[in-house]
Amino acid sequence: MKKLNYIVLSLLASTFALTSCDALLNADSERYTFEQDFQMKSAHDTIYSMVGVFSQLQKLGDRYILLGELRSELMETKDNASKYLKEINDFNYSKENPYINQKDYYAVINSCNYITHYVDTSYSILSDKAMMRSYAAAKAIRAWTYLQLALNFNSVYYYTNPITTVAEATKTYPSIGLGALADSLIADLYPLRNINTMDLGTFGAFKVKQTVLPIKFILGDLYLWKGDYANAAKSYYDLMYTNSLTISKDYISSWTVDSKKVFQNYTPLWNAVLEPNNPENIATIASSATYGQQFTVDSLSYHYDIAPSTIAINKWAQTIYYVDSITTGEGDLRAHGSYYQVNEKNSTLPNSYDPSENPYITKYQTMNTNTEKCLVIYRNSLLYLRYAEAVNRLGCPQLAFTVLKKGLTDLSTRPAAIHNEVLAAGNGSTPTYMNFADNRFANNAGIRQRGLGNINLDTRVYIIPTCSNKVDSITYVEDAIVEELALETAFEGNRFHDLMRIAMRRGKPEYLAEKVSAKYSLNKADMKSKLMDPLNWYLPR
Amino acid sequence: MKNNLNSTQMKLTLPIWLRMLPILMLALFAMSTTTFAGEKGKALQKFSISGLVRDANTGKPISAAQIQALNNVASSTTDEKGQFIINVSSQEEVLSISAFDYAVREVAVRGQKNLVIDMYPETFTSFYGSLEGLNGKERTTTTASSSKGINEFRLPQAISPDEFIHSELGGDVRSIYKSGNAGFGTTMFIRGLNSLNANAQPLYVVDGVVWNKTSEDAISLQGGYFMNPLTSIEVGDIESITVLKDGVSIYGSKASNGVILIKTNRGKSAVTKIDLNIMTGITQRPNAIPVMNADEYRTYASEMIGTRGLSKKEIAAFGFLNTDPSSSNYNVYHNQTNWSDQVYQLGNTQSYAINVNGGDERALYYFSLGYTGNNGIVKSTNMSRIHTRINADIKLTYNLTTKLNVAYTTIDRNLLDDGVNSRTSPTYLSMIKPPFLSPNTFTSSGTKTKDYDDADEFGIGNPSAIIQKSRNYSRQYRFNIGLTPKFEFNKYLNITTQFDYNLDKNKESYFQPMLGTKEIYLDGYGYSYNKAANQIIRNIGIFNDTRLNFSKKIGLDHSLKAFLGWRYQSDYFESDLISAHNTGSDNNTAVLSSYSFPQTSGTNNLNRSISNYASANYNFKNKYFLDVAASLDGSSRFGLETKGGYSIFGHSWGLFPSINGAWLVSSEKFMKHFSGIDLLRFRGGYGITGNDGIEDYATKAYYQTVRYIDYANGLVLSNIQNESLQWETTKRWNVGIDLGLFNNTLTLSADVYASRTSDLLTLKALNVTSGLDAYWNNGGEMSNKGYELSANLKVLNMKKFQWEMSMNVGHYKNNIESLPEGDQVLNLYGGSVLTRVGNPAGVFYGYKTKGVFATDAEASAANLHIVNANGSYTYFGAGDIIFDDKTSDHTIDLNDRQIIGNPNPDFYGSFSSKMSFQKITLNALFSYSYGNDVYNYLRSQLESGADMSNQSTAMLSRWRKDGQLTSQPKATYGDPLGNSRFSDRWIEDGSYLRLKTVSVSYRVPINNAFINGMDIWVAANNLFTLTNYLGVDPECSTGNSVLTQGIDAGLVPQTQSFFVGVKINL
Repeated sequence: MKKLNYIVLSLLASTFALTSCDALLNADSERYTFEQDFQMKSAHDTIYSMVGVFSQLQKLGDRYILLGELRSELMETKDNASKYLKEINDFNYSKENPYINQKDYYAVINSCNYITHYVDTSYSILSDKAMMRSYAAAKAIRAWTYLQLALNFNSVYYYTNPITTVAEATKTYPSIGLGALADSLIADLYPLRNINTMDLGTFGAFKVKQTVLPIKFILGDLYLWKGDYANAAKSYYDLMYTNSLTISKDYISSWTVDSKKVFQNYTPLWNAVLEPNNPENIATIASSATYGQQFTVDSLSYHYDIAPSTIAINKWAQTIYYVDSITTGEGDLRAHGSYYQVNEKNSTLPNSYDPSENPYITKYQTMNTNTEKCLVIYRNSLLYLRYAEAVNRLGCPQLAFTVLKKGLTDLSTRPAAIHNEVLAAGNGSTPTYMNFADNRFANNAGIRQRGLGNINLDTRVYIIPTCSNKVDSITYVEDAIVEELALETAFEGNRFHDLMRIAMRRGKPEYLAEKVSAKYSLNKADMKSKLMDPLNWYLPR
Repeated sequence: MKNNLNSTQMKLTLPIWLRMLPILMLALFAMSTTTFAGEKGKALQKFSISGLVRDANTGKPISAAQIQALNNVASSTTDEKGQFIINVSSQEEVLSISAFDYAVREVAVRGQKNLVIDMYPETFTSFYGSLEGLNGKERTTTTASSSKGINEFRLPQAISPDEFIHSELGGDVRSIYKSGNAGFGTTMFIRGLNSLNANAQPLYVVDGVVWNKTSEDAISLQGGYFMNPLTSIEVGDIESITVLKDGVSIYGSKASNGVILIKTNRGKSAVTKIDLNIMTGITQRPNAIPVMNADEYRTYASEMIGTRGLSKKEIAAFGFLNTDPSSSNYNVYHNQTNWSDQVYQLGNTQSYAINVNGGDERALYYFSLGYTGNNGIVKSTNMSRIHTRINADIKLTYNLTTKLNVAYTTIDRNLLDDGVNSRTSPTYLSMIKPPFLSPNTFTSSGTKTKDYDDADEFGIGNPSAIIQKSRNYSRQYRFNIGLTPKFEFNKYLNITTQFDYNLDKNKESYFQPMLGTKEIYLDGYGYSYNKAANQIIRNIGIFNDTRLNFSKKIGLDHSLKAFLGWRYQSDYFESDLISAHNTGSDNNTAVLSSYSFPQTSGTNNLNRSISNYASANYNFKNKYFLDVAASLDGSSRFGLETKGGYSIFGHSWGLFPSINGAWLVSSEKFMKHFSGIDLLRFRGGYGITGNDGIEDYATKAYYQTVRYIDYANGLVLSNIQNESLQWETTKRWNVGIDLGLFNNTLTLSADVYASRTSDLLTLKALNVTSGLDAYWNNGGEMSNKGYELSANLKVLNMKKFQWEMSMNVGHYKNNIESLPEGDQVLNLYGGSVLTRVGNPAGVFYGYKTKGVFATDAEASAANLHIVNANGSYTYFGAGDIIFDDKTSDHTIDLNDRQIIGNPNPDFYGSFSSKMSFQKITLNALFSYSYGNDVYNYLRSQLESGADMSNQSTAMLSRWRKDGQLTSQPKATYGDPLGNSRFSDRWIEDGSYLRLKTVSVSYRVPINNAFINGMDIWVAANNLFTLTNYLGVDPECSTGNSVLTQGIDAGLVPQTQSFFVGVKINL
């Protein structure tokens, strides 16, 4: 009997080794969150992932600006610039160039996929589907990021599930171009367009809402790239209307003109539109002084690695400020909020800037306040200019031109020339998305007015010339819009892609090639012929 | 046998030995309770052997010597003529002879009838006796193990066990001191380099417990400080240290870097014994690299100012250029300060320890208590350690006993940043600080005050102020409690289960003052004037090892020892760090969140592992030995679907078997013809071990917190799931020989081994679509081939004088066999380390140089340039270094890098001499390393000629005028052409031979009722070092990783030290 006990005991001793291994071999951590523990069943969980996405989005900020502007005619590199910046400027990239790495874009996309895959959209607080907003926000950021990838790299690897395992990571995903991508993204976003913007309140001085890219704007862009102008105009209008977005008269920079002769002093009110908390600011990528990714464009500009090109400077200088039909001159006042040159009137130098004649970009300084730093992605002016681009192509060049000159209001859209265009576009009735009778648009100013005075009153200079046909008018207005985009949104990251879009629309690579190659002093011809091949508009993959 | 098996398949995947486990258990039990038919029935044949035991020197017979047969019981004693007769059961018996004042000796009978046995005095090291092994003490092992009892460590001044290993086991373990500071520890490599990116340090098993030491690799707040968990073990408590290099498969997935067993003292007998150990000593200041004096530096600095491109006004603002003695700050810039004197001091050490050993028939105990204090050679640095330990063996019932171990150690240190750090390291600042400045301020009338000055006009800090104002400390606590009950079923079979809890806690505080340091701009934050930080590290090990032991002798010829066990280990590591800047005053040294740029960070890591293991040792006639062992290991660090593992119960298990055999040739009858060979044993074996030193959670997809605007937290995917991630596998074979020759005058052991480590842990690049850079994966192989040799020679054996010498040497050749991701370059300390197939791990990868351009003509003929960050070229000119343009494209860039050095030695080890003259013993021990290169990072800074820091006197020969032939390039502010870049200029031969320690001890002839014995000793460390190395100490290591070896980061070197001590036995 005693022996039997021994046997039982010894068997027990050896077998408990293999039981309950599962509990014994699992290890948790308080600092890491594992996939199986992170399923986003509550609003809190999505906040953490959304903030994670925002922090990853920060990494794209510099690239949005530099890839969008340094390759355009408006910005150039200076001697100080690193060889990588010079490579962007010269459309000649080395493999190790950090600005052409696609990984950070996919990090954003993958995180967004994680949210949309796991978020419990049925979760609601008091019949408010709070989680749906996170879902929509993630979809929007994902779409914007995909669009950036496609615009910069020509095609993208498209996937919708989160990649969290090696097997998934080593898979090859279908590579699609801009057209197919736009279709997928539109199908994805369209049902979500009316979901309220996710609002996480404020982090310090920063309104989190501003980092959530608006679906309607992205949809508008996607339609515009596709050439679906009606839907583009609808989508842009929808955003203007729903959110009451206008080109406010509050931000008109103006000259004090003495006896209608001498330009005395200017009030640069327009500069404020680029401040992080300005109401005209629709979406930004934000950062803070303490945590997160810092943006370098401000210091690149400050240390004179990047600078405005002579072409850009001349664009402001060569336009004419309009006081009235007699008093004109002195260029576009928006120059003073865009770049800075010493020896200007009212100049104050930043303390540590070594005095020189070199112009440098000041927009990024405006975007960096003491409490907050941001890069503006979408703002009202861009929205109206994109809208103008769409309606112009719908056969409404007069309506589009009003965006630039007088501002879209009930009154400004009444003249017969405009009204007839609109009616034609709507097959006899005014399409809703061309109706500016609502009072919310009453304060709309022409975008030009904010830098060029009373241009709305001008009847001689800034008008659509009499063209032999409507197509010519449309082309004329489109050129005017592209010009206005430069004056209004220079250095903000959209220039190169705007040129690309027009060149593609017209099927004329020279449209882009000529404009961009003009900025090179030594090798204009080489650069032009290089840019005549649209494949060279893209970064190597 | 792969992944995704359902439960019905699962049974099939169990390895055979495991499936047989219950059957094996029954069999063992049956064997333990039954007797073999032959054992009693067989008539024993007896052989009568006669012999003479005599003194090896005088030849005089020794009476009352004990003779014992080791295989089968028999014993005898010599008569007054030294003669004995013993009846043994086999002609291949081995006799063990012991006599008072003589060292134990073994003699193989090997068929002889008459034996003449020469005995040596016990002052000689005995070649015989049992070695501590994995299964307790073993007389004969099949493996190359090196075991040393405490009495064999002739280093009475040691305060940490790694010092022992470094000295006496220097050929078995390649060990390198990390710093000259007391108890900072050593980096150890056993049998080459067995990992690239995972842990490469041996496994420590202390009293049977796998010693948790995760904090060893934690990053300290203090620059140049290494937490060393081994310092928690007081050397006086150690009974033996054993280095196991193969046959360690029972530690399976943790054993590929070798195993070091440390056994602490236990109660020996009911007689109470008390030992007192008292020691005191001094440590000398180092002979630092000589730097320029005040006048030399003034010239240098003036020239350097000229190369900065400053305006005249800016240059005039420099105070040191003021030569008007009447001006108010003239005295500030006209001193002759030896900054070394400001920083270094004579260090001292005291140590007191008492240990008591005793008990009764119910319980035996060992108790110790002690204090060790040390003042470092850098002012204000010190250490104090208090330790206590109780080890008890308690008999509960006739078949149930238990061991109880309790130990507590606390180590307090005051520290300063050390190594090359131009802001806060006083040792480094003492070299670069302008010698014409004073540590103190001056009044406007030019009178020196007692106040310390701030950083100088070049931005170089004041080491004196930093020493006074810094508040840097580390408090280390280690608490350990263990219980090991043992139940004996019968005399052949018992079960033990060992529980152990081990807490290692480090609390660190760091305060870098604003006085004496230059403010720095923290990118993205702002200016930092001072900084305070706290860190708490906790490492908790929970351990259980349950083992069924079986041991039986079957008949006369067969012995079997076997055990079967299960081991569980959990290792929890937590670190919490908070820091903040700009506390407003150097009196505010605590961290408050209201200070600037507060930051918090930390880790919580847990890993758990289970090992099922079994081992059997069999021998036939004590001549033929066979050991087999295996373990089946699971760990939370392994993926669930590993390639090399077996899937059982939803986890992946690695199988690690080994087989070792030995043949004791000297017991064979035919060996009677070889009288010169006293002992001859061949050993050989093959084993597979693993390395589970993978990052915790590397197999899983996880999200990490990131800080976003202000205090918002977000979660970001930072690792993707890789369920195939597994241990690294090392397969190693080994053959060895043990020899005793010429009446044991010469004894030696030699081993040759070769190993191949596969499944190397490597980072593999990911597709861009994942948004992540890389993931941990297994791939790549490397190999080690090497030998180890140890020998002992009795040089002289005279009546009053004995002299013996021993040596050991180790050699390995490491080679990287394959790398799935191609070459890897690791940048650190301004240099680069290359990992490339066909080369050993850790080679230095930099530029080759061919002197200095003497003239512009020479330089323009060579036409070499660099490409600046903005793409423009700068050409090398007169006075610049001639870099080897490997690619011949006239551009000196990263593509011109070549392998310029190898930190792996050709051979290494130690040798020692022991002379005994009656009661006086003189020991000397040398350690050496030959053929290893060192990257002298410190010198690269002191000869960079790139800024206003003071430079070594080597810079006096810098290029200054056209046509000057010199090897030192010109000094130019900012070093625009990168003359001081990582090149063969900084790679030096790190070979050395060092008189590590020499000691004299005297056994005081005392014998009274209270004092049983007393030894007085004096010892000196590092009396001299023969080396061509230009730095202070050729022995340097910057950490435990394989890839960071051979870099001299300018840490406090080992210096001469002198000790005196007394050991009293009561």
